[in-house]
Amino acid sequence: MRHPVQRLAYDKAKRTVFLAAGDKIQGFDADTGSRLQQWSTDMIPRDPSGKEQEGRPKKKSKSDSDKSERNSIRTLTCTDDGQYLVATTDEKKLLLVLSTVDFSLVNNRQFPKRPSATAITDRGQTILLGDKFGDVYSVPIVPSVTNEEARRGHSEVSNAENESEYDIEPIFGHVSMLVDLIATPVVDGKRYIISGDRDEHVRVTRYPDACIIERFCFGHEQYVSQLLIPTWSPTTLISGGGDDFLIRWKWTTGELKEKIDVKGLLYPYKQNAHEDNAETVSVAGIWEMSEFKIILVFDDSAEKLLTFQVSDDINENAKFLDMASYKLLDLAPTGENGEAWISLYDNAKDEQPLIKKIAVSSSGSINEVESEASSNIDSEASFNVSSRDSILALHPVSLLRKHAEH
Amino acid sequence: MSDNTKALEEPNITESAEIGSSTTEQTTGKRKRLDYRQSQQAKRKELKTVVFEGEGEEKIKLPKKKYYRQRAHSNPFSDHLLEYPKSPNDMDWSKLYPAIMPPKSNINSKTASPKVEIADIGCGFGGLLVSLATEFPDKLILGMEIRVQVTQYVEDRIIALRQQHAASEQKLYNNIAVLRANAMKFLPNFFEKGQLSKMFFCFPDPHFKARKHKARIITSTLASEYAYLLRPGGVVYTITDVKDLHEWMVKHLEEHPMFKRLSKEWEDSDKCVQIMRKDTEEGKKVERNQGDKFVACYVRLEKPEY
Repeated sequence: MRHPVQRLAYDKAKRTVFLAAGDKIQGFDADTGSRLQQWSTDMIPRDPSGKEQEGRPKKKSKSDSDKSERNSIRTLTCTDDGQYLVATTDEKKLLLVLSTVDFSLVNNRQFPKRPSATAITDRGQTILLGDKFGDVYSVPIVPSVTNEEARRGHSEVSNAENESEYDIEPIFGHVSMLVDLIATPVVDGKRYIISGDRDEHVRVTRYPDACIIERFCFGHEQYVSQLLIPTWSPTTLISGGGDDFLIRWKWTTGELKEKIDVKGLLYPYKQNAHEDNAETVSVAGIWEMSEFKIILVFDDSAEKLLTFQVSDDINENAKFLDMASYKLLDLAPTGENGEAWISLYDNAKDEQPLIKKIAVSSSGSINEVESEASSNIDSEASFNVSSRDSILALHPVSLLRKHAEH
Repeated sequence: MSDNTKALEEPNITESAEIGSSTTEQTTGKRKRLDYRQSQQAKRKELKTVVFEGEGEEKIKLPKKKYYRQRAHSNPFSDHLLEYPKSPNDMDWSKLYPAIMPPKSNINSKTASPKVEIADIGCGFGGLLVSLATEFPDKLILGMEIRVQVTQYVEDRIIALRQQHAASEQKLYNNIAVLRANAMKFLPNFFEKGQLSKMFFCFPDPHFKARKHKARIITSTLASEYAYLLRPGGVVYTITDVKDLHEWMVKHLEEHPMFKRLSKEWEDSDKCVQIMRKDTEEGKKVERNQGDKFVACYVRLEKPEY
């Protein structure tokens, strides 16, 4: 059987689709479906200083050694210029930057805590990385040689148990798992970072002066997992997560413009019935189809992909258009004709397509696009694993819901 | 999270949690503690939002600290069952300052009501809070504490103090209150940008292990949050008996572009610094043990234009 594709990225410039499955990344020509490259975290050269091994004594793995050696890819992004792929891994807490040309590793650094969100800013020069404990770091895409040498020289003398094991300082932080992070477009000459966490906070921070918090956007009551600023409406922010609704904000003032009901769309007949845990909303993805001013929202609990019209007039309410059922893992819009690549996984089936292409119409309806390219990609995506046990935990976003202890 | 009425309810004291398998002697002690706290809880429920008039009433006794002891550490990252407002606008302060604040429903949005201006983060048993109450009788002061029982002690202490002074002319202690809260996570839910003029961090948990340093109450990332909550000219007060922690706090505040350290002369002339040295419970303990106390105070600078 095949490992599902947990992350997708699309390079508009070279028309390449990138798939991340387990600890592997493969690149495909979007027009022919032929495989271009393949890369795996096994190919990361071992740190010559052996720091990784000497560091903390490795915990004895409870299960097989195969699992402890795992280094699953958790996030995958392609820079706007299509030059680099930015990925993070779970177990070894790595940030990886690959050149899309030859899949060479141009940046590889370890973080103190597990990375959970990335964003790219400074015209593709800087990666912002948020971690499981809420800290946000700023890292250049391509490390400057002198800094890197200085870092290595420094780390050799430092004690591994000491905090200086990681010389990097966060630029700002939440005290809660950071779930999504975006760099805003320039508005009136100013730039900001917007961050959402597992508590209900949406924070607007100045950038690059990230020590100054501009404001909080108050309105969520559950974790915030997805943030989007539509390209056609730069002062609009759409956020979603564990709440029954999405929120549409004017983020430049913090004003809550609209709560967009999602629960009522997903569970129309039980709106007023008793609270049922199975019927909670879990927004796992928000994407845009800028060509039609449509946003796509995926709810992980009901496994529905929804489309909404979002106007460029901030005072106009969003309009629900349509929905379709998918067991979606990720989605990557191509930016053309409302098309997007999607990755799917149904854990009840052994054999199934991993990759499909869909097209959203200007009226918001979702249709599958059959093409040779997409069937080629699906058949060429060779992520064979021996058994279901080798598939990494896909961590549904609903696990972020808090269960208070005391 | 909930509406504000709920914000003042508290978990019931359960027997099972208190009395485990232990010797008879311990059990008797626990039983006594439990009984005491249950009777206090009943009283607290009734008196918390009462405005005392103080004519010929019997004085309420101050609570006894020994019945409220709790382990000193708390993990700020865990999901506590906390009550906090959705936003500063959703907070009903009249439940905490019933003699001063009108109920939220009666507030005319046009008339400005007083706002909390001084926060004691990790107020412990409330020594500083009680001293500040008389030092700043016209300011609203809030203590925040993450440990349930310690918070309850402070609540009972404030109730007793309010009632005992109800007959006096100034009606002291109506300007202080305490809340159970995780200040590291939720301060911005309680206070607006620039609302505070003073924030106190007295004898915070040192979290000695390097791995736990992010749990410290002063870090460069949290300093940004404190800068957001403080008005320009507002002051962060820190005091500790742990030299390492003092150096850590100084390092993180020093590096922060929004804060500037206040001089030794300023510290010597500031009343709050004296109170912080002498009137906090930990301060007294350190005094008894003749330990060192390290003070560092930082002023919040004007924000650069953007």
